[in-house]
Parts: sequence; C-alpha cells; structure tokens
Amino acid sequence: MTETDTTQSPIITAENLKKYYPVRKGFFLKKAVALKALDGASFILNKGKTLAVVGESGCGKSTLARLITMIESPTEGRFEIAGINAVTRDKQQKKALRSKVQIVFQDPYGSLNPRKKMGSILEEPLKINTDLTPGQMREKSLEMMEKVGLSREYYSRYPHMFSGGQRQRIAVARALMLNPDIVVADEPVSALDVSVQAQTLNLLMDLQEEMNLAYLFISHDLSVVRLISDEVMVMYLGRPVEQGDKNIIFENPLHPYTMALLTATPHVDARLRKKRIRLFGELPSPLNPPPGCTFHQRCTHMTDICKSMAPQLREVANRLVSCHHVEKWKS
Amino acid sequence: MTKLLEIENLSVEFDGFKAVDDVDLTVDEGKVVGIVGESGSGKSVTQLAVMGLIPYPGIIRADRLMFNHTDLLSLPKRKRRQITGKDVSMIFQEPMTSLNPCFTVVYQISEALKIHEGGTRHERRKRVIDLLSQVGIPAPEGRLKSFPHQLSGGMSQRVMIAMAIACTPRLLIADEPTTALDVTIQAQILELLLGLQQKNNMGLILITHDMAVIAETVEDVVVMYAGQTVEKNSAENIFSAPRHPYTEALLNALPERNINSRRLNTIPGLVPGKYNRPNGCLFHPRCGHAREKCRQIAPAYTLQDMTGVRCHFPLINGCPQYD
Repeated sequence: MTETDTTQSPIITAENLKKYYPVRKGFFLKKAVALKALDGASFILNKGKTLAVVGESGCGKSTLARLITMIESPTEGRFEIAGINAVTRDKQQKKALRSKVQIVFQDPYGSLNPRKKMGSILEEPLKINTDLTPGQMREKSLEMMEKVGLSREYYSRYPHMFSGGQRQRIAVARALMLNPDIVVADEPVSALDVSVQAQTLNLLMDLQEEMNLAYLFISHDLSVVRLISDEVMVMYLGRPVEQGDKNIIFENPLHPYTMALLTATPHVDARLRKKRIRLFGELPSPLNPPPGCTFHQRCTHMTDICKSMAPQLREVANRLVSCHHVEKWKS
Repeated sequence: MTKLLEIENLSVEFDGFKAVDDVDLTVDEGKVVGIVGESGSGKSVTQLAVMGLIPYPGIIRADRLMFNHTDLLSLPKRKRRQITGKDVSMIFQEPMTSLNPCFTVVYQISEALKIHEGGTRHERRKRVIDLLSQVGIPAPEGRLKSFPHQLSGGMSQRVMIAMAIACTPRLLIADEPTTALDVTIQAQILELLLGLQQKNNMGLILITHDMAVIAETVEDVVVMYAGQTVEKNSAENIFSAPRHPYTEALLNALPERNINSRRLNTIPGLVPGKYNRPNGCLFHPRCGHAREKCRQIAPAYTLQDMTGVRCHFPLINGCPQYD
C-alpha cells in the first residue's frame, strides 16, 4: 500500500443518516409504525479508499447503499458528495451528483436486462447523461470492455451468453461508464465461485488504483472484507456498533457482536481459528427492536444496564464502538 | 466399521452430455465426508443420483452403487422408494424455496413419517414437536401451524433438517445447507448438523463450495471438477499438502490466503461446459503445471492408501512429480 495518506480528501461525508419506512399494522387499526431500517450512521469515505459495511441480513447495509446512491432520500441526517449537499430537492443538482455515484448489484443474473445487448447495456448511462454521438458512445464502451477484461467481440451479445463472472464484469463496466468517483458495491462477489471471485476482486482492486475510485463495499464475507477494505463499519439492526481502521478492528475487535462475527467465520487455516463465541437466536425484528442495547438479547456479557440504556458510539482505542462494557476486555 | 455408501465409476448423462463422469465415493457409518467444487462440477447431481431423483432424460450408469449392501441400481422402484427419505435423506439448497409454501410445517414434516412409519395423527404430531425441539426451534408447539413464509432463513433451514432426520436416516446428504445463511446462523446450523450426526451415528455428506466450512467440519474431503472427482484426501492433508493442482489453485484463490498481498491468485479461464470440453485432462487449460501428456491423455483416478488423485503428475509439497 502506498503511504500517501496526506492527500486524503473526503468524497462522502455522512452524518447521522436515518431511514424509516412506515409500515401499517393491523387491518382495522391503520396506525403507521416506523420500521427503522437505518438508525443513525455517520462516516467519512476518502477518495480512492474502501469502506466496508458488514453485518447480517437485515442490519441496514442495503438501505445505506440505496441512500448513498440516491435511489431513496434519508428520513433524517445529511450527507455530502464531494462537498455538495446531496439531501436536496434541487433536481439538477441531484442529477449531477447521481452520475458520480454508481452501483454494482449482488446478483449478476438479475441485474442485467436479458433483452438488451451488452453494447446497449453499457451505453444506456451515456445516453441519459451525456450528449455523445452513437459512434463516440460505441468507442467508449469498447474501451471500457477492454478495461474490465472483456473481449471486443462480445459487444453485440446478450447477457445469457455470459457466465456469472463475465456478467459481473459487465455490471462493473456499466457502473464505470460515467467516470464516477464512488462505486457502491452491494455484495458484488457473494454469488460467484471462489476462482471467479478472486478474478473479480482483483479487477475491482486494479480499477480502484487506476481510476482512484472510492468503494462503499457491502459484504457479509469477512475474509473478503479483510482483503479489500481500508475501513470497516460493523452494523447491527440499523446502527453501526463498531467502526474504524480495518487492521485495528480485525486484530482487536471490541464490540461483542464484532467478536462473534469474526469467530463465527470459518477458516481454512487452523491458526486463524479462534474459540467460537456462540450467538443465540437470530436478529430481532427491526419493527420491534429490543429496548436498551439492541444486541443485549444475544450478548454473552449482558448486564442490567444493557437492558435499559442504549449505548452511544464513542471512541475507544482508536475506533468507535457502542457498548457499555468495552473497558472490561480492552487491554 | 460398515460401509454405508459405495459408489464406483458413477456417471450421469443428460442428452449425451456427462454431467457426472467417473465418480468414486465411499461413506462409512458415522463418518462425515465433504464434497467441494465450483458450480457445475457435478456435486449435486451425484447426490441426486444416490437419492434416485434424477429426472427423465438422465441416465445413471455405475459399476457399483450400493447402499448398506443393497444394489440401488437393480432395486425395483417400489423398494427403492422405501429407502429414499427413510434410510437416506437429503437437505436441499435454499430452504426458502425448497419448502412448499402452501402447507404448514407440521404437515410437511409428518409427510415422510406418514409414508415410512405410519402411526396415528396424534403420534406423528408428538414426533414432529420432538423433532422441532431437537433442531433447536424455541416453543415448537407454537410453530407447528406456521407456513414457510413466516419463518426466517435460519428457521426454515432448521425445519428442513427436521424433515430430513424425521425417520432417523443412516445417511444424511446436506446439499449446501448454509450457503444462503449469515455467518452466525451458519455456525449454529453446522453445529446442529454435527451434533445430530454424532448422536444418531449417521453418515453425513456435506456438499459445499466453501473450503473454510469443509476445513472446520469434515474428516474426509472429495474435490470435484467438471463432473469428475479429482482428489480425495483427509481434511488435514488436503489443506496443508494438496495433491491435485486444482485443489492447490482453489486454495490459493481464497482471500484468506492472500491477506497481505494486494492481488489474489486466480485460476485463469472457466470451468468447461457442455460444448468446450478439452481433450486429455479436463483441467489442463487452466493448470499451471500442465505438460504435453496432459493435453492428450486423460488421467485415470488412482487410489493409493486413503488418498485418491486424478492427475498425471500429482503434487508433492506443491511440486509436480514429472516422470
């Protein structure tokens, strides 16, 4: 890794992002209840860096991706992309910002239109956002295909003619067509086989270096996160429970949930295995989150204070963590 | 130790394409065997052949396909069905889609009981409650009338397991039982499966594409590639000293083994499909150690002691042994 940390400049600054969805409960009682899909996330993503968001399904990872890509607007909180406020009603401004943030979806089989040829898939973002001539568009998409390692003759093929790994390359190419600064990758490799996964991860890392991209990398696979990320944010039930530098968190996790996640991940190498911290039960419903610390029902270190008071995110040993009992096992 | 399942030279053919070709597999009673391979390597089809669930155009051929000393191939269909679901049962991939959305949990679990063991409705209901508590579902009485959509992923997988162990099978085949689940739930489910396996002294075949899961749970590993078994080895040996270049390449591609480098080792190319099967060794176009011989002659599967390998030049400590 290069030691050019002095040139760090934030590309996304998010403050206390929240997204509540109204859910109607009961047939006659039409009272809307708020489903707190995301309940206060703050982070800074620097240019050319990768922030990984990890957590179980239902923890708000994908909601965060939807907010950052401006598919949906947050209920509360604010975020800036390259210093420009993105929570705004100004349509022109939003459109300009949208082309800076692009997304790669999880399922390469579902995210490409089966009726479109690869060329038109890649050219669609250009058609909408630029006024290039068809010839220029074609030239640009051929260039991009080469960049992601697809041969030029694939230009007029349909998605069904490609394998999963190649489709994911198309999805990456489509995301890069508008020269974005940020790519949100929502579980980009979890549907791929090990050997193809390695190829795709290499591609993502190469492109990051080449185009100075910032990634918001969403994943539940911690071994992938450990490889690709610079910073990690661990989420539980809509809230970040621990966030900070990758090495600090992986080597010395402080939140019980992070510890449980890390020890639950299977390893090939016996030396990397740790004594498993067992988690009982499953993620509680976000419609009816438990009082106090949302993790307390599954936590092995639970005491009375956890049941009644929600812990705040605070800085402990160079990272942010939200737990009442951090001091107990710090050292 | 009795041999529960013996497969020799099994092939499954669909319209002239061999999805599975020359597979050998032995499972002893009370043993856990893992099968790893990428998608399209024939892991699932092999097990469906054991279960007798290969659909119409599929043709199963084998020198030997024995379960508990009965030949499954020559067995009449009626007899075969008495074994399937009772002595051999299977947990399918993706619990959310494998359960029937139209029927309650209690109905689906007691279906197998009704066919294989009979008994009154009351007895079956009691047995279902017992099974659900065995697989760790809290308050099982309250869950009986649930429909699959009311269950979470982990819960559905538990129900699937309850279904599979309903008739106390002697061999349980788990086809990617944890692929769709989160890591913490995955750990719970694997623990549950191994616990049940020990308690009932079952044979367990665990199919997965996740090397790490294999490393933590099984004793013997079979690696499959493009429909063939390419290596069989004990779990200890396969991770420290793989014999087949494919196994080695697969292990080197894991993010875990590349933590401090900025690039992952990859296997170039793709698994060959129906139309692009190479001559000679099926792995040679992607193999770093391939020689002229590999391009022309397909290697045979050779068994030596307890390890088997399909390669002309098997690796010893990462070095191919050229003649």
